[in-house]
Amino acid sequence: MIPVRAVLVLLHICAIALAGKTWAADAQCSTQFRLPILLRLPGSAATSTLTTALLIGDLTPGLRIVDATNGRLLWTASASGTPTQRFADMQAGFSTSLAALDTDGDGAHDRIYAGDLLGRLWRFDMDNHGAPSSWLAGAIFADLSQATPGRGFIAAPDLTLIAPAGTKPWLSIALGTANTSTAMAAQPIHVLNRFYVLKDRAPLERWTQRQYDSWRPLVESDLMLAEGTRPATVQDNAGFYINLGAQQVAAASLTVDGNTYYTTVATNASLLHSCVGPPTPILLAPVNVGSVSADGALNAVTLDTSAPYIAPADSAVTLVRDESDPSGTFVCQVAGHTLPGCSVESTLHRSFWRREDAD
Amino acid sequence: MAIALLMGLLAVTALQDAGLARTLATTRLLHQRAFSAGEIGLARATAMLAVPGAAAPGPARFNLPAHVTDGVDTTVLETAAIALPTGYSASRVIERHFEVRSTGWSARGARVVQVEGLYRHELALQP
Repeated sequence: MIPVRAVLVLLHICAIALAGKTWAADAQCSTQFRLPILLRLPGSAATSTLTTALLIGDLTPGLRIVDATNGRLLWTASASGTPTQRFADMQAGFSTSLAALDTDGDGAHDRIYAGDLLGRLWRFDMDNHGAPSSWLAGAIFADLSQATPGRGFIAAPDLTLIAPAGTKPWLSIALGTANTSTAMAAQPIHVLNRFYVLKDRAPLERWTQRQYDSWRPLVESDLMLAEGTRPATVQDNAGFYINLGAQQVAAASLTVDGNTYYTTVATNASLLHSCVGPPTPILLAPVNVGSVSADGALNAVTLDTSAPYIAPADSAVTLVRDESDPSGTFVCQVAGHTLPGCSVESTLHRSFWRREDAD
Repeated sequence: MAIALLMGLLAVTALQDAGLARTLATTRLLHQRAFSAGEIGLARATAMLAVPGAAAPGPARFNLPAHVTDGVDTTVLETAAIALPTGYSASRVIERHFEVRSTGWSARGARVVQVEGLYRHELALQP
């Protein structure tokens, strides 16, 4: 008889071969997640030099920034203790739901979106020119927690600038919820998960802490329900959501040409159990793919198999170069399966032409 | 005598007009050749940038085989790498912009400068 442990090890090895990474080594199951960011730190001789740092979230409430080269702690934030910056509402961990942007194109990241384990999305503006105690200004941008605990964000926010003709652009923030209960309950907690697409109407504006303090976080009643192929939003809406039931979102979505592709995993198990308990093998589960347009119309996604993919629970939609196409098209894949109709062309486009000679 | 003088004057004027017209036509022709040379430079730089992932090629200067007096100078600048391309996930896809400046030349100082902006989508590299 084959020992159970040997089967688990074999399953683990297969998973490594399949996904190229392990659940234990990946974000969801490690005790912390490190997002590389670029900072322009004050005090250095060359302030134009960018420093690579790591924004760290984990199961304990708060965020940290450390120098990527020497591990020196540069900045902390939490609701209690002696952090560099205190945010009164920061009572939850952040796990892997972190994303950073460079909104002014100077090479340094200056905007952070972070989803916490209670289902709240934070927005921060970052300015590293001053003292660390004032590096970040921020607050809860959207409070999407539910009355019963257990629903939170694990997947990183997918940030996309949407600029329809004739309207003011907005930043689309797409992310879904998962079962983030950390209690090792005998029975899994059933949470009703959702996939949210929120609109940040000030995509390139740096807010002061005073502006953040006066911001009323978006709540679910501000959003519209997307449930069909018809647009679910109007131009001035705050966004929309999709009911996922027990399906969980463990990986960041991908937006291509205005359409957002997301994966859901069919399991009731908390995706954080293995982070607080002993290491467990990679979780293989049925993974489905959904797609929604920027106006909330659900798109049909034709998979190359009638059943969901049995794949690692954190399988994301990735872009892979189509080697058969000499023009260098990138196709979308989930767990090695190509998604029809989802691709990024890398062909050259002309943006302008002019003559400059005077004669 | 007066008639002969008048005819001679007319002939000289006609010759001058013909010479001017020929000069103008030649100038126009040379500018067209310079323009064509510039277009060849644009096409050459565009073909080099069309290779997936290709970096901006360095400056180039070459003569055209059809006319030894004709040639082209091209320079390619990478003008921007937009980390937040419209409609695509930030940090996953970037929009890289280039500016191609192509100066075609021909005989008698004919010179035409064309500038073309190009962009393509690429996968973003993590910091």
